[in-house]
Amino acid sequence: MKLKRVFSILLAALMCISVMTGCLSGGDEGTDGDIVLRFWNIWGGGDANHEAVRKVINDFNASHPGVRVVVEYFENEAYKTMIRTAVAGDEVADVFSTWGAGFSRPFYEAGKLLNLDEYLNDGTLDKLYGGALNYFIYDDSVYGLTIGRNVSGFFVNTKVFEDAGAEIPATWEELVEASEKILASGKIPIMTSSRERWVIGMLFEGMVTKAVGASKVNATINKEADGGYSDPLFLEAINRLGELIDNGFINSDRAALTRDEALASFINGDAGLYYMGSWECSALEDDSSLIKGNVDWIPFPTIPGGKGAPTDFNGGAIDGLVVSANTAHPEAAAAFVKYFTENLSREGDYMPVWNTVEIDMAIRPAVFARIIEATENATDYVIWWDTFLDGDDVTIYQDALDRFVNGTITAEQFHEELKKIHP
Amino acid sequence: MSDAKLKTALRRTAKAGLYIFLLIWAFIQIFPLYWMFSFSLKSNQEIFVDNPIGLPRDWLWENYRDVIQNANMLRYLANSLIVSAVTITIVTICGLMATYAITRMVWRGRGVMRSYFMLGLALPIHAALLPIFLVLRNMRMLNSHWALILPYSGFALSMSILIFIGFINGIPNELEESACLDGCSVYGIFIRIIMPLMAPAISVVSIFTFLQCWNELLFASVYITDGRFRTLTVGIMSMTGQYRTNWGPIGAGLTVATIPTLAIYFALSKKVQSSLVLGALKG
Amino acid sequence: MERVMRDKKAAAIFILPAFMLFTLIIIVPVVMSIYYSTLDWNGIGRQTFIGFSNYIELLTDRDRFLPAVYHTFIIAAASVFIQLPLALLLALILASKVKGERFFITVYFIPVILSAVVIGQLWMRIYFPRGGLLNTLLINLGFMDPTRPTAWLGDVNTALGAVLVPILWQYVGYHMLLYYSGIKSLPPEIYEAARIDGAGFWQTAFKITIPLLKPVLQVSLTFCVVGSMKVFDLVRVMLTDGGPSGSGEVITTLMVRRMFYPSNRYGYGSAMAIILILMCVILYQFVAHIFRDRDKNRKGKVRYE
Repeated sequence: MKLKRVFSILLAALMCISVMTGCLSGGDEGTDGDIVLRFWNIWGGGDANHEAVRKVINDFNASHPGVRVVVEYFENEAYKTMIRTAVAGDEVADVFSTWGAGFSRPFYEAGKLLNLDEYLNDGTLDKLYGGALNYFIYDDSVYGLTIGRNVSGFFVNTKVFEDAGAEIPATWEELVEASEKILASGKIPIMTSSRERWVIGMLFEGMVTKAVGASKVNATINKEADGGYSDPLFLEAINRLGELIDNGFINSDRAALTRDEALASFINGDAGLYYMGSWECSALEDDSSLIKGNVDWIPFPTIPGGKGAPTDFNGGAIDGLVVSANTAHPEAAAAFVKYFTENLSREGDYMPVWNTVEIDMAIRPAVFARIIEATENATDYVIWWDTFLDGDDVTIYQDALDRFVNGTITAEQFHEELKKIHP
Repeated sequence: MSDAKLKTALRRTAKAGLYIFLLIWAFIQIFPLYWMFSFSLKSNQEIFVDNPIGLPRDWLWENYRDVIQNANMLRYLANSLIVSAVTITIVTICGLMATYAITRMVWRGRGVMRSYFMLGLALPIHAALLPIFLVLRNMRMLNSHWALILPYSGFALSMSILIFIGFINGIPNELEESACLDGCSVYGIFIRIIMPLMAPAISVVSIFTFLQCWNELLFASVYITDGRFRTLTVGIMSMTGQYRTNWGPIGAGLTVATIPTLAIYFALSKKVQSSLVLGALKG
Repeated sequence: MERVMRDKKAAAIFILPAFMLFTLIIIVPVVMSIYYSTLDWNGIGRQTFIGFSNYIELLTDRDRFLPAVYHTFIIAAASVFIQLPLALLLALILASKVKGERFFITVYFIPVILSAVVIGQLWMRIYFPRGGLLNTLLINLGFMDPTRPTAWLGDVNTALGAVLVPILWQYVGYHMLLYYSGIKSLPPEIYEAARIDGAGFWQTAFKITIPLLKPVLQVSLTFCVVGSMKVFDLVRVMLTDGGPSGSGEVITTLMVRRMFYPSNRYGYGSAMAIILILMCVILYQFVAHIFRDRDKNRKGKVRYE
């Protein structure tokens, strides 16, 4: 019987493999008496921070006898589903990476996160810049530590600007003028992706900050502002976005492009401006980048009649680490979180939030230094809405934005949808 | 030209046309395989901008090095093989037994039982993610191979029973009757008559079940958080970054992951084709 | 024979393993989901019972849910009327003693083997607005203005169609293999007889093969219809968040985004899942009903009542 043979071969192979993995899996258990901390994060092999993360963990293990951190890396998109399921089922690691504000709020509300207050009185709080932990504070207690801040803004391809004879814009009028020149030179003025909604969302939120003003936006997304989204300046920002689209300043294939594709196109020199987070620096200044050395950075230009200061920025320290409320070793876990976040912000690709950390600019991309310089006198920051708002509000906002940029609804209808979040 | 000659000429042209159609279709179907291989050797820039379809300009073999040198990939591969092999075994045995009971044996409620199993076709796997997670947790089976084998088997069961029913209905029961007269028990009939006759169906079910669990990403990334039990597809996808993804090495990983699939398909599809012989036996 | 087949203990032994596994993995979660669908619940925190509110909200959601149902049915219809006939035609041709039969069968199955990530990425290259395969072709043939290339996946009018083509294409080989194995397990004597009677290709196909293939056709039609209801991977890869203005949204992609990240409305998503399950069950019964009449003729032969 042939089938029997196929099955017996499969079975034999199976047994060999089981034995093999049995051997392989032997080494992972801790030495007797050691505290083992399980740590989950999303900085796997393909991530810019991967090497830095590994180094920090190894350093921690070497300098903390009696404690051993066992790490697992996960894929970003799947992680968002996985971590929620794991937290819901109380099957989560001792320490795990997450996003502050809206994303982790359900974890806090269900009592799944460890309150870190008592572990931070050893001077840790003094080492952090003010407001650094804003998005990990729930009801006045700290539940997580952040790795660093990201800022969003326009990356500028200076060569495209030069070739078109355009000036790098600081105001709306200059942006329009530069865009017209770039368009005439056969390039795309602004590159983005609306297929991944958070990407065009970032651009829109940058415009809202300049129209409404950072403090008012913060109060609004926090549902604390009188009138909230009803402020006509929100509509003003929506109309300006519509203007950019109608004039062809934003790439017309935005709804078809993924962020990876938009980025690749910008690196290829197809566009003058690309609105994205500061984590993109290393990709733009990579040795393989075709625009290396020609990259500058500006925040979204000021808008006439807008209340946002030129130094109002979008961004925040939203990536961080939390400790599970179920951990058997809260002390050790908290110590690891402190060690890891402080040291990764030295090694990794983030704007610093620790005043103890000196960043070696010589090894950083040139544009990274430009962002640090530009944000030195920041007056205020607005966090990205999709990370701050609660789940259902994110859906309302992103669905309406998507419909608006695809021309299915008008600016007024978009504004009406926003008012549904907080009238 | 005589009538007969014209007919042969026509038939020849028709035949040539047929082969041209078959070959064009073959080209279309084989293209993704070529494309996967070429994309595994490219940089993001080539994939997304300059050269999406053509051969790679610089052959980036280091994409493969990234995959193969990853010490865990061998373990992931082994995990995927274990999960798939056990799932296939469970699904074919349980599925065939249930099919036999439903179609050949006589008892009350077998019609209901058939509909009961078909409910599995209706359940979208994403909706079952959290409930199955809770069931597995209560059984203390998370983070083991069983955490994937059980759901995969459960989900493949309906499909396998449906396929088996389709095939078993085509088998006339004279053979079983004569075996019965020879004093064969109901178990004997199942093992000696039904199992061999269903060999092509078993191959088809094995192939389909294998495909289902080999490429499965959702359960594999949620139920397995311990790297020792991670499957190959999840291992490959964990090479993507939070903010930036290098697609070349992922292509390389997917190419490597496709090789076992092709091998198993080749091995089992031969089985399907040998059913010709079995057909003769049946008549 | 009848006595042997009425052995209740044997029947129980045969059915039990599958029954246990199935109840645990499929039925228990379905029951749990029915309960969840009546809750206002984010999947983690407090659960509030709200009765049928989730269902009412869904069935009146003209913006997202109902269009997603409509798109799903379009995919199902296209699969039945385009994909299946093509698969059947290929299987008939390949089973009629074509040279290189094995080669063709193997090659035609390749797309089924590949992961949705590969297939999705490939088609995204084909549809790419600037310099993609399709637009390059159309421009060179003079069907498209080079300065205004179509963004197939980014246009409200074309997104669903663009994602439909790869869905249909990828699984042609799957149904072809089902049909092919079905045809091959038919007794060859029938074909001998047909050949002696001088029946041609089409005659043999319609008079002999297809009627005998009914059980396999039922299997394939069921997979096709029910599978279309649950289509997810390719839509997710190719359209990310349901396409421009939700023009390519299907039930499952909407369900996942509502249930998990970013909406976190687990109860609402569960209600969507229950509606989807009901739709699948109804369609399954419908397909079974179409085939039932033919079954009756053969009943006497197979069953013992």
